[in-house]
Amino acid sequence: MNRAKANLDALPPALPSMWRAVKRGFVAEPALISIAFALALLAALPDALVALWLRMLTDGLVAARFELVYIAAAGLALSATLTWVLRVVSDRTGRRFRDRVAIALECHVADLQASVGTVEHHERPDYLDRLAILRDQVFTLDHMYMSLFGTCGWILRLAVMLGLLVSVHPALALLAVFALPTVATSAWRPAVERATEQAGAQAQRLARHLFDLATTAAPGKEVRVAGIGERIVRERRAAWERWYRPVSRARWVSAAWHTGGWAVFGAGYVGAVVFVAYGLDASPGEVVLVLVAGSRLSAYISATAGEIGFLRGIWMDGSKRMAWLEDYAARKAERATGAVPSVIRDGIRFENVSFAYPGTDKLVLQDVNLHLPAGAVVALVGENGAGKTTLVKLLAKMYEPTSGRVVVDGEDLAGLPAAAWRERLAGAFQDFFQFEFHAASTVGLGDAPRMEDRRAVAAAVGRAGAEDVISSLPNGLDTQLGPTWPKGVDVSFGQWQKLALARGFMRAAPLLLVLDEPTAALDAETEHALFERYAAAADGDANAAHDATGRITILVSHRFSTVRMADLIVVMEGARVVATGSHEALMAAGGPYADAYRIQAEAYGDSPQGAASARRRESASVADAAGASAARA
Amino acid sequence: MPHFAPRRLRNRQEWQFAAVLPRADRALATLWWLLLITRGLLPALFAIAMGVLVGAVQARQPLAAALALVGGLFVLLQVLAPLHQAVGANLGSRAAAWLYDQLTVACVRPPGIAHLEDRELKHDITMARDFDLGISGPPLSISMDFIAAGLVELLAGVACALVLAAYAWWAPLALGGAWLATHWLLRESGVWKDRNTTEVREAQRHADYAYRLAVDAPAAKELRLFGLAGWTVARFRRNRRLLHDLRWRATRLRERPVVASLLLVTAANAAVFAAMAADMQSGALALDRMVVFATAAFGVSAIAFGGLSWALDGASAPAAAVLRLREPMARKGALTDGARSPTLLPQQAIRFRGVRFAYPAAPDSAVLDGLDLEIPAGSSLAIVGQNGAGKTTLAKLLCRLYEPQAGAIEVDGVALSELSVDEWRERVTAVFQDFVRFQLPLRDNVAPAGAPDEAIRGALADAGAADLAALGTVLDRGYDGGTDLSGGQWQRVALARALAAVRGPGDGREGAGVVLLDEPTAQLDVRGEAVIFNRILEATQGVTTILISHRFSTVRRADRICVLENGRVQELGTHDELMALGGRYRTMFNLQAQRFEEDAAAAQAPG
Repeated sequence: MNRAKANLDALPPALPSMWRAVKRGFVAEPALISIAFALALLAALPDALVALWLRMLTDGLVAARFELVYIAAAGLALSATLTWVLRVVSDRTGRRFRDRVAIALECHVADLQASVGTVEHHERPDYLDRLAILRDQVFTLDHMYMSLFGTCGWILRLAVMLGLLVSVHPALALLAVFALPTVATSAWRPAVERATEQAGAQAQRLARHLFDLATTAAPGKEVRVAGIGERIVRERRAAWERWYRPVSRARWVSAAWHTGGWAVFGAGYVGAVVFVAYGLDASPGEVVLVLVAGSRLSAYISATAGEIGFLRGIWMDGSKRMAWLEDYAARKAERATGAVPSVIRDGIRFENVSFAYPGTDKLVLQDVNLHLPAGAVVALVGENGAGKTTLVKLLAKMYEPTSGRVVVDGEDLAGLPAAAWRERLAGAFQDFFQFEFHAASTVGLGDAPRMEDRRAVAAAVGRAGAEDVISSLPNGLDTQLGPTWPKGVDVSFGQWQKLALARGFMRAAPLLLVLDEPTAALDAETEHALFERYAAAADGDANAAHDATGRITILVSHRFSTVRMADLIVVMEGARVVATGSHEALMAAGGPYADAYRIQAEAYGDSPQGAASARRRESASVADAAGASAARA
Repeated sequence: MPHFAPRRLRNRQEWQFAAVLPRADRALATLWWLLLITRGLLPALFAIAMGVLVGAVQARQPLAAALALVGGLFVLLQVLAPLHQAVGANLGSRAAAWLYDQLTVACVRPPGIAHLEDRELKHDITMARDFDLGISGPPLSISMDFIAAGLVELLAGVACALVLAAYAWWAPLALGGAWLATHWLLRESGVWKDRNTTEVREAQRHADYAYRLAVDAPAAKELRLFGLAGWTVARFRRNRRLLHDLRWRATRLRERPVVASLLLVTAANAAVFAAMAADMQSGALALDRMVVFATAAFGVSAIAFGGLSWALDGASAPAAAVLRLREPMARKGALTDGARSPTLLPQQAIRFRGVRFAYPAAPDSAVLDGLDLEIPAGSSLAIVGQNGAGKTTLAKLLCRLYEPQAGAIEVDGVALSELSVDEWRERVTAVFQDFVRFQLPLRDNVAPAGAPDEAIRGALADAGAADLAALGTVLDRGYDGGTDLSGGQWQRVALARALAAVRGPGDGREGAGVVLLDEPTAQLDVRGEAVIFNRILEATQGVTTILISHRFSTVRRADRICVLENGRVQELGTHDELMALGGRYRTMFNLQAQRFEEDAAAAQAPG
């Protein structure tokens, strides 16, 4: 973690970040932001004048000048009323502004995260820690504006108060100096508390994970069968306590510092009153002014300090995170300007490609050199963790290679804009997402511009062999998926997979079709139907459109029955490509591929033996195969 | 919860929230209330102290005592606020933790899982979590400070009004009444009362779903592959705007109540301050008392600013929702719990007798209908069938996650419902297709209920995952020293979990005697599948094993195979018997097998 922290870039400085956020707010809601600001300042005045009215009242009474008494009494009544009116109006405007700007900001953050080309920020723990806070607390950012305006209002009040105090004696301005410890602790402690909270982000993530396990249905099955419900409750609480203990300690320490700071100001205040009462031999009116102004001063300082505390603690922090995300997105934004070819003629080449996930040292791909010829069906096979899925991710530009390059018809893939390149991709991933929309949208999302095109959707459903899924839905394509939605329907995992596959087949003429374990949860007949389609594609002449674009199909699979029909089989082992060739060539060469193939073929062999003897026979042949491959290695 | 409060009050969510605080942490809650009351009284006391001091200055008396009073109160006024804030933040955190505990317990305790799948309840859980997720307000640790501020101000205003009573009996009534009336007159624009309508809830959920889609990892790859960023964000914006507009309309500031409030407040203030001025002129109000009463009269306005803060509403609605959820969850997730112990069962057989089952969400479409099936104890049974044929449902019923609507499942002739649920589940272990990937160390992933390290290593070795990682390594890269596993590696871990359960918890209790494997090798590579499956068969010798699979290479090795279709058993027998029968099984088997019979592939393909 320390190492990861070290190469995590620092958050941008606070003030410029806030300034950026303010500008963003102004761009989003120029009129509302101006009115909200003006009202926040105006609302400060009536309240600040109370000390003046009370002094006038005292002076009037002492000097028996009753016109002053009446003016001051009217002033007090007016101040009380106006303070309230202005606050009500300013609150309303502020709330309206905040809501509007919150929407703008949330959209902004969602957009930034969703439109970064790569998925690194979704997979690196240090980025995740950082983003988790921003993501869940975007709402705090809209408070930042009101907090900022409020701070300006408090500062205005402070200025008025100091002016009144100085009118009694200039030395009273020193009272402000006694407030410095308070201001200092208010500015310093929230950041400390914040850092403590973030240090506990992992414990908090674990607590959330365990909470999800306890409260959602899918893991609920296993939680019950394993009888670990109570344990999850306990562990969740324990994880939470791990987060809470340092956080609460930091809060107590903050409280102690604040208390100390305020005690200093309190001493200064008492000193000021003593100074006025004894030192200046002041009139009762002046004593009243100092008493009231002094206590208001403290209220304003505490309000200002509180706002600054919030600003520092949450809102400034939020704006820093947002600025960081903006910078990150801008850094990741491509300067790639290359044109994506409309057809692939030669193919895609991996040239000395190595890859380690950012923030780690372990190479997941090592010196991969590979030619995926245009128009071919390419199967990637290999043990789990051999780098198959990573290779697919590089092809989809989810990551950039650590070294080496991927070349499409001579063009470096790095030079092609991700969005444009991906428009020519299609496919389905092993860990597909269950989009809980209407079935038509769930499939149609695979080609957003044609989402509403029922014919296109139906065609994709057909290509994926998912007609049975659609026909089993009460309203066909118009059925809401996901049982938690109104009229939503639950479908099985295998049915979800078919829909994901259909989504992957939405695009009409992709250059690259990626199928990462598309049939793992499918039944035999569906798998067969799909396989037939790959086989047809592999034959080439059956599909004129595919010929024209030179489409490459990448198939990640463990099923040799499917793999063997590919034009090119790429065998991966331990982050490297160890063999390539057709099924026949690889079988003839007798490497790990041939071994593995025989194991599976034997399992289907037409043996007359019963199950019990089959068990014995299998273990013998597997041991042989394992021994053979071990000897070769 | 104190029970002297009238029912209407007790039913209010604010009251329920207040009752949560001492249950979360009694000491902190007591301290929080004490500080709140003290802070509420201080401004009024300070006004009196000011009067004493000014009186002494005017009379040219010694000031020491009065100064000490003013100084002491002033310092208290200052230092209690940050202390209160710290107490509130910690209390808020603890209350959130307590609510989470309640929610987890309410979800985990019911033996069934229907309550977790119920649409309404699921919705309520989402709303109930709002105390921490901050969808409609800040988390509790921050809310507490806002709540305290509102109450302190209200109390301060009331205390000032009480002081004012010493001036004239009607003054606190006029001023206090006027300021209090503003709350009532503007009540509609304060808190959003009707936010629990379908329209609001829909908009909120749609907005939340779209937001999560855009910012969370699970959809990230497809979002990029299909270029859906803009679409998702637009969807979020639309629903979020709708939500905002609904709220804005509901809480609009209406002209008439504002004018009425303004008139009332102006009149009350004018009356009180005018009376004071008149009394000063007539000499009835001396300087020291004037200072006290004028300050107090102004202080009464705090009533208008204080009160039940919006944050209180945001905090108490979810708190009340949490408490409300317990009962319906317990009801929906209930199962009949038998008293009989299933130790060492089954000895003879598990039998499904005319079982009908439909999910609660779709009670009319039965997944299993008239299912009859006998599974001899200690044998292995493979279940095949199309997606949606009810294979997984059968497994879930055997785990007693639901009750069948008709028919019965019997173990050695005893109905499952007569057995103790907890003890039966100790007899069963299952690897579901969507097995849980615990973000916990490998050790806990293999034996979530606990087992000796030796047994865990053994189970891992049996599942072909001996060298996966150290037992203490967290299986998620989001944690320090954590690592990510591939799909196949995870599957081995899940298998090891079942095998560890068969070995037993290591405290002398029996291990599981029934093993359910739902597509246990779908993500394994070829060599892995063959080797692992052999090891599993060995490790589960003598254990009743039920295997759900599409892979006929594994299926054929079960003692018996059952083809499930339309909710019933279509074919049942050994591999050889079913091949000889020439029915569905044979068709499906040949489909897969033909691809390995190279030369015959084309010739054997069925029409």
